[in-house]
Amino acid sequence: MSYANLVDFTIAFATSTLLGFFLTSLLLPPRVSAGLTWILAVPTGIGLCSLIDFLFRRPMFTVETIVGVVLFGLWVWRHGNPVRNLTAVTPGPIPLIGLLFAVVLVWTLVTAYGRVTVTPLGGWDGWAIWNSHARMIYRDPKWKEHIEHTFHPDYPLLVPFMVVRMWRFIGAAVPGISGLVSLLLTFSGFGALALFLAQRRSALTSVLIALVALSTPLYLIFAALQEGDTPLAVFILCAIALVCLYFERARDHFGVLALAGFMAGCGGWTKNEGLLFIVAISIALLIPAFVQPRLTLRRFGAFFAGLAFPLAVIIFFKLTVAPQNDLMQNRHYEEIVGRLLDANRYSSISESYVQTLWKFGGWAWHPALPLLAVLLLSRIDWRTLRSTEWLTGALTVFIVLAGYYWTFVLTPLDLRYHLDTALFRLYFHVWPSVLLLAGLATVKVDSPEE
Amino acid sequence: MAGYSTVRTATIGGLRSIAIAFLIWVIFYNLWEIASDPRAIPPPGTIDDVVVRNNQFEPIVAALFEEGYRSGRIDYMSARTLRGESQPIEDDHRWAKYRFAAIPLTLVRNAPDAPYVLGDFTEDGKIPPVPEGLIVVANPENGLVLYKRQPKP
Repeated sequence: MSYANLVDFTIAFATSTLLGFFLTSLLLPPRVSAGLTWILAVPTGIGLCSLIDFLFRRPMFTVETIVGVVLFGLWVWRHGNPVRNLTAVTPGPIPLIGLLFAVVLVWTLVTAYGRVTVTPLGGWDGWAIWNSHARMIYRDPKWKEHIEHTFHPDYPLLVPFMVVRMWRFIGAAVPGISGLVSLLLTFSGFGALALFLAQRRSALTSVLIALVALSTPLYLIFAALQEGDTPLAVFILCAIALVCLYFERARDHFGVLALAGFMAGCGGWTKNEGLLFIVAISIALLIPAFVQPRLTLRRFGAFFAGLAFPLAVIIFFKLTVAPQNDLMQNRHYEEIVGRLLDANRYSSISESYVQTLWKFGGWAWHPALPLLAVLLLSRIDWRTLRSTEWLTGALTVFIVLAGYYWTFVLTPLDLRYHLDTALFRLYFHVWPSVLLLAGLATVKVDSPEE
Repeated sequence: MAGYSTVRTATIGGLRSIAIAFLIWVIFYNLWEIASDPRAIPPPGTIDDVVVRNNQFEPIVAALFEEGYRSGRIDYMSARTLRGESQPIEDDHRWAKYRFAAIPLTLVRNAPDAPYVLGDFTEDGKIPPVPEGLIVVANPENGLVLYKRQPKP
């Protein structure tokens, strides 16, 4: 990658982040830190641009500019002159431990980029699926007709369009660009994890939890290999964290739920597993309807308002471009019932769930026990574990994992092969969210503005 | 009671400090492992097979574009195909990598109606005699040969 390519890439990444910033800060309450708003701007901007670019492939930058001008106008209308109101755009003082975390984050990013320089076209799924789709979209004006000749043409297109946008801006399909943008999106998730927790938990706990996520070897390698799993994990984390933020700190601010809905929709636009996540978080949000039907429906309405645009794009893609999923093709009633009634499948899957849980991150030393010790000795807030925000997040993760379990029960593929190649990456999807929920279980630190 | 409470608080505080120190050690040990493991981060200059195959295919793309063929199917055959043998998984992997390199053209197998044929002889580098009904369009001498199907009389 040349210096000029890097400059173009930086401009393209900055513009999508700026779009994300305007949208995010319009939807979040003012008391949320500007640092968190900026870090959420990365996935929001990438998701928004990917949706725009799918719908308007050729005039993509014209449409992005129009959307940007409109969002900027709304932002100025709400926040006033940004030059006079710097607190709305600058993160403010950062504690020393936050600076140390930033140093480790940058060092790890540079280290992981070393993998991208060696495998600039990605790992197996990276080149065979995601970069193949990106190439097809970038090089073929009739890509919608021809994408069926690639592997898994039914997979959603957030990652390919994220890459195509960069290539279009640079003017060439530069190898390594897809890895760099994948890493930046993944690393925004680590930042978001720390900053979400730092809203109401101690800085030390927030940084330790984010470092545990950051030091998950296979998760990092997968990000560098340009797989779709780590981007999905970031969107799942952000959606769950925003729902928790709403219940904990912003019950008067439905915009937070709208942003959560948008993040969930972007998850569905990233991988088919994200569609299961949309179902899971919707169920978790709707369960309180048995107790508070009106309020619950208002909350869900706000969530759905954010979800609607990405969901509409997903439905449009599935109806007009995507062929049938390989797990759904040529299924018969007798064969499905046979799998459902096979007790061996349940024991094999349960066994794999337990075994993979211990090794999915590829750690030299598993961080679970020392982390558990730190959390228990830092005092668990048992009321939080019974709170709506924590239970909503935990229930969402549980439904996602249960959904994956039933997918394995019904899979037409060889069960052992499917478990060995898929289960560890499915754990990646919820790993940052599980760490978030672990951090949220610790005692709150009173924030000065409340 | 106050003394017990102080001792308890101090003990928990001490244990917490030890647990934090151990967790930090685990975190940095895992990070160090990532940075130092050549399987995770291979050293610069390590050759990636997909990149190699992608580069091998570039002269083929150039030849196809020169022929004015920018969209459509290309048939794929290996030395085993010519010998009428079944294709092992290694052939599948190579085919998949060249298929990626060929985009937006579509590299398919068993397509007797495709106007062009890619001969993949990279396994041993030995180029067989030109099969009947085909003429050589490009031979970049890297184990790949691009053929064109002669129209049937």
